[in-house]
Amino acid sequence: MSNIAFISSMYGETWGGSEQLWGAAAHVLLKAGHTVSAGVNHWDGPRPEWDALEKAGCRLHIREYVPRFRHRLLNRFLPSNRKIPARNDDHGWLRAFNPDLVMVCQNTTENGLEIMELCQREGWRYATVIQWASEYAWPDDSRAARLRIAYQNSAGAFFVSAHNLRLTEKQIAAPIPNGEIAWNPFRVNYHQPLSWPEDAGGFKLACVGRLQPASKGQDVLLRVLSQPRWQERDIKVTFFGKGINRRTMPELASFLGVRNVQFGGFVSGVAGIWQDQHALVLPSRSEGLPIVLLEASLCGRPAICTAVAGIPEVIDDGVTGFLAEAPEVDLFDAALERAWQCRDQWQEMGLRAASKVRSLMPEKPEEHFAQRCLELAANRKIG
Amino acid sequence: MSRILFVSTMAAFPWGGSEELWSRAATLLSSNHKVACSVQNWPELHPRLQLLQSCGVEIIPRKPTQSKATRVFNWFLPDCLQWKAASPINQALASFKPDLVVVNQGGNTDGLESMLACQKHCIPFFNVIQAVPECVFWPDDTEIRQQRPLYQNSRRLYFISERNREFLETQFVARFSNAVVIRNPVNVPYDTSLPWPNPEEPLRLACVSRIEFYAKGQDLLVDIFSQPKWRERAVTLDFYGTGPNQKILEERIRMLNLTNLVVRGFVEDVASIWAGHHALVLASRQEGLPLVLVEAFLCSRPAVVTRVGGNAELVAEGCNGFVAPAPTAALLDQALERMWQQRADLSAMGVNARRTVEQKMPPNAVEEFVKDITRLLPAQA
Repeated sequence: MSNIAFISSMYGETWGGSEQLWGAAAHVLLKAGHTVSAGVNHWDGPRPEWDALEKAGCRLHIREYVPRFRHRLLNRFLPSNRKIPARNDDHGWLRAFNPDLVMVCQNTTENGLEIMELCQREGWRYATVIQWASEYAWPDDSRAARLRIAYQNSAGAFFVSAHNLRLTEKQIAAPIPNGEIAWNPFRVNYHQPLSWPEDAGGFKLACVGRLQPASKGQDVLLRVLSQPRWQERDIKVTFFGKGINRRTMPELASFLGVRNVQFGGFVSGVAGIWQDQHALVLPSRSEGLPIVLLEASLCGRPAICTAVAGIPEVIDDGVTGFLAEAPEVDLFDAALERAWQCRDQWQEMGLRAASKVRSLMPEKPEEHFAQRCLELAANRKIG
Repeated sequence: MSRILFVSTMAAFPWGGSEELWSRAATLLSSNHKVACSVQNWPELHPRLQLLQSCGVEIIPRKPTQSKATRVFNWFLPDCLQWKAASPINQALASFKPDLVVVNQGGNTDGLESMLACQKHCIPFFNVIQAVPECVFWPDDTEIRQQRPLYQNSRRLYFISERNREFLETQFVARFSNAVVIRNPVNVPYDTSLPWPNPEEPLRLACVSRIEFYAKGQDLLVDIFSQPKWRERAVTLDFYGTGPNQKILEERIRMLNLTNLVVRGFVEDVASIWAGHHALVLASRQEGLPLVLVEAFLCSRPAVVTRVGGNAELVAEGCNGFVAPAPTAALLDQALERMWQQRADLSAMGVNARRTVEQKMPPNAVEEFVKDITRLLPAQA
């Protein structure tokens, strides 16, 4: 039996796409009788996923940002070098836990650096999973040099797309020989695509993702749709998701005079979205590999996306979907136009998309990932 | 005699292309008005700020100040009741008492604090927005609601490019009727005339900008020039500038053994670069309107650029340069390929480039800017 620790760098939310993989793998490991602990960041709101993990036997260690009240009082009298810090170190509990493997879960290429360095100092075996890498986020020279050492000393580095792996290699100017691809868990049926929705009344496109155009590019799509050509067509786009711009995006739609859109809010049953939507439309500016793309494909829906991050690794342009070279209005317009001209083939393309994704990813990615965690942990005992 | 305060929001670097317009305007205005500028508190003043100081411009570094009595008093209070020092901007407004404020911003949201302070003190303000990034630094719903009326109340929103203006309107979901597009002054004389570099071969390209990949995209050029076709061609690419990714750039060039790429570092005299290079290459991921582009054009050198900021407002495909429709390696490679196929025409394109600047860029950008803000000066002036 192994002791596995997961350290999440998620901050400002309890749960998101970046947490699905380690959370699901933790459940798999707990069920198999291994000991699992997790370090997460303080969060005030409801936290159902944490509760479920704790119920399954996972010890949660919450990093805090403000010292406890009695420590704050005490700090008034202590010199600045002796003040009691907030409980945000992973050091104490990890040492007591004696991990066989520390899995550092990052939602960028660098926000797990400090914890990887801690593992190096303590001699703990560690690996990392990176959920997002972008050309718009680079470590500076000094952090890049530290990251190079951290990645090279890791037992394994898991990326959600080959693009993210290659980009991280560029960011640290060094190869990551132990880099490999990890697939995220999904919430739809792996084997059985959904039946094709009625399209006599027009075509329905779903744009699924956080309402945060800086990364998801919803503004690009709205500007494309604002052209008269798209306003006249039998097409309706529904936006699903929450996010920091959820109030502004509907405003932008009416500002641009876009009538054939609707903001559907957040739906927990993903398959429910694809029951009556014909295709996914995703004008992202940056990604790891969008889980919604995998889910839409498995449900038998083609996708119209930008060729960012891992997306071109999943979509064959003109075969299983359509790619725009970049999140620019004219380029995305051209891709959407090509898609529209082929709309009678969408059903067929959706089925091809489903079999393409099944050929790429395993049915239970979390079990595969949990297995890899155990293999990496076991190496320590042998070595 | 009015009192004019310039606020430069620049914080990451002590100086840059974004500082040329306001600093030269401050110098001009200092002969007739009392002028001050609020700048980031660096350990020592940048030479250009020293120069301003010697012209009589008061430099007000932004540093928090709090009296000893307040600090002692605060010791007894819980955090939430402690006396907070007024922000350095508020302090500058209270002490200098300007009649108008010019906020020079590097991005879309960094003027917020200054605008709030001006509103509080009922001082009219202008904004110069030097760049509008599209893929980073989006304000959230609350920030958009807070900042939109401030932008609408600004006496003028000066943009450096048309695309920047359009994008800010999209981002803040508003029409800004107070918006105008202006031009920055440049660092080479307007009447520069440089002969076409000899010999013709190898083709010598220069990428001149801060070495910071997320904004300037030099990493794309490394990707492109590591392809066999570019390795085999008689072409060199020199990087000028410094920045937070310089070592990684050098390291990747070394690792990939790209012998025709060299990092040259910072050069004061831009015209000297163009004496020995045939064309400019910019792989930027975001821009206002790059000074180096205007400078290269003034020196009769064509450019290969990405369609960000105002680049495509100056560069016309196949006429004075080449435009990649987005900052990706594939699209920029195609633009560079078109340049390579038409390399015999580059000197003629350089002539067109020079003409473009003469048509679109006024030689007296600073004077026009000064005229515009003083025209709107409050009545007592």
